[in-house]
Amino acid sequence: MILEVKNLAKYYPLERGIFKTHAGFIKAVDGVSFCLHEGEILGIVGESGCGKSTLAKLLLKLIEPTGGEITFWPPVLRLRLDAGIVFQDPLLSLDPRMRIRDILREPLLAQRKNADGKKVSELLAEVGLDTSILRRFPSQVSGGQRQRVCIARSLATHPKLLILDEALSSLDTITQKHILELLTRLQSRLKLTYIFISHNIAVVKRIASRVIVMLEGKIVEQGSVDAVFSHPQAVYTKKLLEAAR
Amino acid sequence: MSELACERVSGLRLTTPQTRNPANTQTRKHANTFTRKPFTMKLRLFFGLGIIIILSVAAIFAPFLTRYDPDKISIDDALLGPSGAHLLGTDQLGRDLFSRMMYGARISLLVALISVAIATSVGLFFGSLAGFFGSVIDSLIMRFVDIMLCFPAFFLILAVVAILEPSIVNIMVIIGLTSWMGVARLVRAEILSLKEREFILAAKAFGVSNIRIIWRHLIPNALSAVIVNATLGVAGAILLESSLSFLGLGVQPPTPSWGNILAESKETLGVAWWLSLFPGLAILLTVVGFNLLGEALRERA
Repeated sequence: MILEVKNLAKYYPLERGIFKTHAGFIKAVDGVSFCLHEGEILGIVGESGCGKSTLAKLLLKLIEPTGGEITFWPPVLRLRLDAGIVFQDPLLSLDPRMRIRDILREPLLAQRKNADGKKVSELLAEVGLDTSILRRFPSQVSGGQRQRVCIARSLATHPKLLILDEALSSLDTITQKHILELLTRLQSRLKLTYIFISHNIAVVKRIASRVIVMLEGKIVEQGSVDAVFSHPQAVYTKKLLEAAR
Repeated sequence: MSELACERVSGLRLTTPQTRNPANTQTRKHANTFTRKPFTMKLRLFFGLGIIIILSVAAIFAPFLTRYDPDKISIDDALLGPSGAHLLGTDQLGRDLFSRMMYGARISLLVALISVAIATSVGLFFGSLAGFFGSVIDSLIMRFVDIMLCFPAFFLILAVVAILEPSIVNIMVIIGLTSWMGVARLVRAEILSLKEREFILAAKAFGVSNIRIIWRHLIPNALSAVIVNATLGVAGAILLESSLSFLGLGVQPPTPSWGNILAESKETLGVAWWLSLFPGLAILLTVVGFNLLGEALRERA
């Protein structure tokens, strides 16, 4: 086991009127519990606004949870060194004023690790990119290349866990396929564990081994991909599958 | 003159929020899409840069471009009109006006550039702290900015200069420390919107420290607006220095600055028109030059 989540919750207080009187909560994530095994690909599916991305941010402690526990196993794992994240839109998640080289060096420098040219070109080779793009800015490379840069950046610190938050959603289908192949290859080669967040059922079906279905901040169903997608138990999962068909 | 300068300087600060108004630029952009906008922008850039380059060359190479020592007094040549020997004439002490204006350009530009550099650094520092950390730090810094803005800037400067002695260094520091508030507000606003962007979240996720996020991500992304503001600020600072020197509280004679040349010309206004015309024109042209450049940069940004 690499990660255990118990009763994780994130409530946003809702205020009303000029006096900001308390008017209840928006329960973005509401009592989510699951565990993650090493080398596993866990898919998280659900409609927009069901709390998938909030969950990802909670796991990386980018926002403070309202309640619950996140435990990494073994406990020596350090959160931001051993977990990386790839966001939905690579253009938004790369600093427009930084060259690709500096973007790739950044996590290394932040962890006070060796960040020389050799290390950077190794990273690029890992995701199938050429060193010729190093001097360019994110706006000067293609969407697929940008997402590869994002993946390379998240691999820089040799994480064990990679959180892919809608990592394919902003790409066209051909590029999606290439990136998916890259992710599969990386996963088996580097023995990575993925949390694959997506609203695209077909992609999750292809890559994930286990899946969690979320609705309004709660888990409505979880289990192996085969079980959940061929014999859905919850009403919502059935609806979701129907909509995807 | 001083009244005019006052207005210009306070106007300088007020331009910032207006220029950042997206609705305003959008309608303007839309209306001019097929008209002469790109051309006027290039024209502004051309004239703005041209004036500034000529001035900088004049200031830097002043010793090589002038025939007379700017401080050399020769009573025999007093109040000569513009001629071949003295291009722009001489003042009541017989000093060559052309030389004095070239050396004056050095002082005026130096004071303006350094005071704007001070204002911009202080503004960047406070603005980025306020914008990034928010809550208490933000409130403290912004209330301090409000307090500073409460004083009429020109009279604050006059009061401080009257207490301290008016030297070039003092003038630069005082102008710098009384005009950083606009920059701070601008930077804070930029950073407030930038820090919600996803690449900042990504940097946090990779364990990048707050200081590094501010220094490597937030400030570089806010810089284009700051540079535009600084360019326009130079124009304001030149006017401010000139008006201080005109009132005798700026650069002290015999060191020439456009402002104090102008001040000395008051006494001979009736007989020597060149003594007030040329320094006045120089100030006007410089201010127009920096404003044109600022406008062009703003449109480009």
